[in-house]
Amino acid sequence: MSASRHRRWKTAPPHPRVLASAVIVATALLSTGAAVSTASAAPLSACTPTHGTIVVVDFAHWGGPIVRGCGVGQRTGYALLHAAGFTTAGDEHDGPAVVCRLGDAAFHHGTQYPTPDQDHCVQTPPTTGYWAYWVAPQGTNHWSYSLLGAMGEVPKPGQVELWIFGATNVAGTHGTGVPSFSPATVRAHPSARGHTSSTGTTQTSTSSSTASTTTHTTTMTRTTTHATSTPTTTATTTTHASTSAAVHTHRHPTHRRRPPHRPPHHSRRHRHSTTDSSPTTRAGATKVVSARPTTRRASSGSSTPLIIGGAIVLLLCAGAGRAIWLRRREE
Amino acid sequence: MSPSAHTPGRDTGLDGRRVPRELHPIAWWLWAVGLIVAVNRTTNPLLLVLTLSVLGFVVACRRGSAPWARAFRYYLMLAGFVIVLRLLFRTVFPSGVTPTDHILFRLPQIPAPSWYRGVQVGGPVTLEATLSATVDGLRLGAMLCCIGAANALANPKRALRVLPGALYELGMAVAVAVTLAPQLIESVQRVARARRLRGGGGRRLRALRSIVVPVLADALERALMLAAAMDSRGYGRSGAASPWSRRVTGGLMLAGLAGLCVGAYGLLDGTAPRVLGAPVLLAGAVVCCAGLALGGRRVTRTRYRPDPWSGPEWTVALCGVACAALLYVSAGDSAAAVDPTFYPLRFPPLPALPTIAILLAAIPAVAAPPPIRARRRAPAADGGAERSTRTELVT
Repeated sequence: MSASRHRRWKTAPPHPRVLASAVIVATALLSTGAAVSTASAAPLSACTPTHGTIVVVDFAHWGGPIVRGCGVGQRTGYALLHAAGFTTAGDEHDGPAVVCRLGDAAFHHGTQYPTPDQDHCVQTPPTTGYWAYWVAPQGTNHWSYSLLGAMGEVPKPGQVELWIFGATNVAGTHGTGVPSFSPATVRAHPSARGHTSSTGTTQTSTSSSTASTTTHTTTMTRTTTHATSTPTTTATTTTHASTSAAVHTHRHPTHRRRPPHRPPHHSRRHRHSTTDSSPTTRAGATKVVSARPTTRRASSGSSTPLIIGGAIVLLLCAGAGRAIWLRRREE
Repeated sequence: MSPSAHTPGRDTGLDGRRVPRELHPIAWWLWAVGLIVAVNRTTNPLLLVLTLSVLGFVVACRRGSAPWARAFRYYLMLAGFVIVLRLLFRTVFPSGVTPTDHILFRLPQIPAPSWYRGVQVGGPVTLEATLSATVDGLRLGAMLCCIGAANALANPKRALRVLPGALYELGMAVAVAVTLAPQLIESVQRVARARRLRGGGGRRLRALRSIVVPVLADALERALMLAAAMDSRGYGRSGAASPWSRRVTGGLMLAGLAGLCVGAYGLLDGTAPRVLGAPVLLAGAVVCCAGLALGGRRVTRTRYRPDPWSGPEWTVALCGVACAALLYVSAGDSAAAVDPTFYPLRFPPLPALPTIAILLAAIPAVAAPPPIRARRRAPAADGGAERSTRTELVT
């Protein structure tokens, strides 16, 4: 596009009519038809410990499951989310790069959380409740806070990425936004290729690659204890062959199973304490499900509101113009 | 300025036309604050543009001829500047492009080292980013214009009267400072006119000197006169206050202001302890009020010509409050329509109830009494306002 257009945008005077017409022109330019964006998600089986990147979204803040998806060869964390079948929404101030809402068809028919009545997504989300972005490169078993964000992080093969909603302090060491399970529990399985959910509805195994054959993963939990923040994950019956078996990830009940719509509070728990992380109660179980592609029909909306609004604005401007004209004549 | 204009319920003159008078400034300010609250709640460009046009309509219909009444257009320019600045920043520092974005043009991208990858300079400029930056700037611009409308419509000198007694002297100084610029301009114009009448030609520097010196002399003379007038009315006297009570007042005010600062900080900083937030803010406000009440006791004022608060004032103030309340109540039901997004690109909706809420704010264009126009200004508006401000007697 030419520089003249650029200049026109930059020197647009603040007059309501001009702004309104600019919006009309701009939207009419490119929204001639309803665009259908179909996300074709890579199946979870495409990811192995050395190939593809697993992305995990934790909806536990709203009592939802951990949704697990896969993307191969994506250039940004943002693209990875979309390749895995998630939908995102940015905030008004920062644009799409700051993930303000996340949704997936596997949880509440793809409703994006937080919903508009929980967060308007106008300003940058506050540290008291936002989607925290964690990555765990191949070979490591602890989450590290992404310093680059969704558009800056480059997913590497074998890496696991986690989006978790909650609050963190500035250092990212405390708060509900700090993951309470280890990367190993959601990593791709070496022999997972071929038999994992083609339908995408079955609950997948949460076993780690190191403890894949163990039936009781208590040992797995112990080994991950040193590295992870607060590993509270204990898979009870983990056999990767039985993918349809409901495998529950047990979590710390006090922190995780909060009723929805409650604002997150700052929980001051110790990060590396093993006593805190020992599985005390099995009450709070969080399901791990596969991400499902969300087909969203992005309609350009109706132009009728724009015309009605423009008419009202024109009417008011005409009234103002008449008042000014009368005053000029009087003086 | 007939006496009948000030009796409540008698707003129409003998000829059936409404008697022009100034509305109570607090009514205009309440109306404007209501609109600010409403604007703060929405990011819908249609609602924001609607707000701007409502403001323009009311100001065009009900502004007087005083110097401050011409302020609105400057606020409009300021709003435009805010929008342009916001657009510029969003264009130069794009936050990221999604595959479905519509790219308008590309700026040369400055390659950043890997440790600086979080910030991108230059690159593709998308229609979506441009639109949302415009709306973001429009929101702040609309808020600024709300303040501008209140400034254009309300008489700042009369607004001074509602200040608590303790702040009266400070407010008086502010009012004098605010009226300085218009008075200087008027003085410059008068001297220049006199010079022209005398046939004074001269080149630039000489002309400048022959204007500046009389204007400065004029300003000094005026300041001395004002000081004498204020002194003769007891401005700055401590009255019957004892040194002890003055010290207590000062201490209370300082403690209260400190409390307000700490409270605001605690409230805005999420990591601060809870106790530092609302409780400290509240305590600071209470202490401030106590200080003001104590300080106000030594300043006794009498009113020469009280501002009436009658039907039109109620209507104007309630329109503002109703606008904010209705928008907030209806925003819960139509959250997506009040805060629409341009990702994906789509036409903004026009939710019915929020639209009605903002249109409610246009009622003052009719409900408020007509303003005092320039024709009657010379004897009544200028002199009257000046005199009535000075008759705030301090005994």
